[in-house]
Amino acid sequence: MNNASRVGLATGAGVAGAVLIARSRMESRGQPSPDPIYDLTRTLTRCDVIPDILAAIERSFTSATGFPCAIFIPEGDRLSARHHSPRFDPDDNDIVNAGLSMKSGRPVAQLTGTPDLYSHFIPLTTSRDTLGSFGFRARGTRRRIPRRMWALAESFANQTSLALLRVTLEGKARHAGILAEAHRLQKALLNSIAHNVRTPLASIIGVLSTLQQEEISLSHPIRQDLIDTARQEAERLNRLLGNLLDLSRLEAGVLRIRKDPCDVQDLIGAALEQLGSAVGHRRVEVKIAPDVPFVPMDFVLIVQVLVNLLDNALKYSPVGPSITVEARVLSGVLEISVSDSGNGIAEDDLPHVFERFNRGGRGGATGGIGLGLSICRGLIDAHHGTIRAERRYPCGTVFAFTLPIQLER
Amino acid sequence: MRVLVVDDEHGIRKFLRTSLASQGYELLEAATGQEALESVPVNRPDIVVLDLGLPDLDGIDVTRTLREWTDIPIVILSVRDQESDKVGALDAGADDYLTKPFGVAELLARIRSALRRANKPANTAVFEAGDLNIDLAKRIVQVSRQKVQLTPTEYDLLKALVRHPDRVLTHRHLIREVWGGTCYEDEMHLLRVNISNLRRKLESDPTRPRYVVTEAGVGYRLRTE
Repeated sequence: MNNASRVGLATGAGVAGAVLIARSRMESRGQPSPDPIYDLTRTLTRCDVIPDILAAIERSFTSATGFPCAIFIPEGDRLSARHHSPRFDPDDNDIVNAGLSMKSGRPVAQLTGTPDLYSHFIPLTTSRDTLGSFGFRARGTRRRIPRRMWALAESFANQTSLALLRVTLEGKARHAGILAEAHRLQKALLNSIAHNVRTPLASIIGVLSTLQQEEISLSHPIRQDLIDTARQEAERLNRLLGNLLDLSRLEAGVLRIRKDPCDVQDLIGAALEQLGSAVGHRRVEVKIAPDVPFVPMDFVLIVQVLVNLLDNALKYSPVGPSITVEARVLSGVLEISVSDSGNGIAEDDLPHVFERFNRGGRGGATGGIGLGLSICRGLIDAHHGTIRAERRYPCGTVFAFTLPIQLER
Repeated sequence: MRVLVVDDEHGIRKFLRTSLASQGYELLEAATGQEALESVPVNRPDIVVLDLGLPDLDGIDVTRTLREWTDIPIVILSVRDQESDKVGALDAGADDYLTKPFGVAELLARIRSALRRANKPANTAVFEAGDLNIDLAKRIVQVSRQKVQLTPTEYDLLKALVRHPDRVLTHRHLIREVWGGTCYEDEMHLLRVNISNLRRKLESDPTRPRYVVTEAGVGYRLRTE
């Protein structure tokens, strides 16, 4: 048995000297490292996930000290070595002792199976809690390890705690950010729904209460006009609900796209038919280029896109001038556009009109543009197509979407 | 004419009672699927207006059970707007499908045409709607008294539609009737091409068809009103 294995007895300066010599030899052989901690902190700033951080720490520590190390971090209620040097493969004893160091908040040493070789564990503590344990293997107990080496090991443990704390805090901040964003979207959705439901309901209730007032005598055309308005608003409310359902299906990923070749003329006809009384006496001009082929699409969903775009155009443009629906083939894709001569959308708002719950500055009494357009984008994306909004000169807006003509494999 | 309205919503029954009575229909009511199944053989209504979401049975099962012994016209009223629900109900034997909310005028039109189909002698040789005239015996199709040349497939397709005017025929139904096939993918394409051609020959504005109407995701309907 070797003298050095007797704990507390080995205080000879000779051993410490030997370690220092070993280290300085290593330094002269390898990369000179006047301040390994400085190097480490610089490396750590570039790491933002735990495995990278632990690997960097292990590398710098073994190259600075020549000692193998292992870093223990609890996962759930189990403690394990999340990263270790090849020469330090932690066994159950090591895990128990790493746990002991965490519980006591103090360093723990344990003789290994190899004579005079000890596993040392330094708890990874922060001001608030203990994140794990930093372990390394060295000859001799703590007292026989030179002060400078021990201090270095403690500094590594400190840096490990700081780096882990930083990542955890960043993760929490990100999570809080995501929650805040989800909360904001949810609030926006509720506001949008409330707005979009109340607006048509206001006209419906308004009309019904007007008709209820026996003392008001209304001429037949005015009466009819009021009833038409209420009916159209009720139908708009129903379309809104359809959009909401589609949105939730899109987001839940349960919307199945079933593509087969469809007649574009049939598509436009079905959309106009579905809008029914909303089109009313409005002029809708349909132009279909003669070379438009049958195009693979999910007919029902693309009808929905067209209904939303047309509904939008009807809502935001004056009654007089016509709305144009145009279909043509442009460099291998089908393009369908809906143009109106309304007030148009501000140039700055154009890229954002497909974002959810954005009313593109059009807002106001007619409301609800955001939901329909964001669904259009979701549906067109699912078809691998594109959708865009442009200003139309001299006035109005063009909404155009494209669909690939070839079935992609 | 006696209409059996099957719906568990009191409000809907009340509003149908008012609007159907004003058109001279006699109203029978049932609030559950079981009541409906018991009422049909006893009260012998002329038509059933059936909600799909009943508290005890699904409307599609009620339709199937009724179809085991009777051809009574069945018009579905439902809040379910998914195409698969419509196709399911029509394939189970329903005559028509209307999504809630609906307008009374629309419902009355569907009831009328369902009754007309049920009471019409099976083989009328000549079909007329608007400026469309089809002589099934002589295989002559005319639009505004102008003879229209159809290919044999186009004619068969038109004939299938004419045999059930105003009724939504599912894609599957039409494919079976015209091509006799079951290879859905290929024949779906043929169906669309032939519908497109028919419209070009029959409709004055094929983009806003007056006769051959698309029921998106479900099928086609020959509109006569």
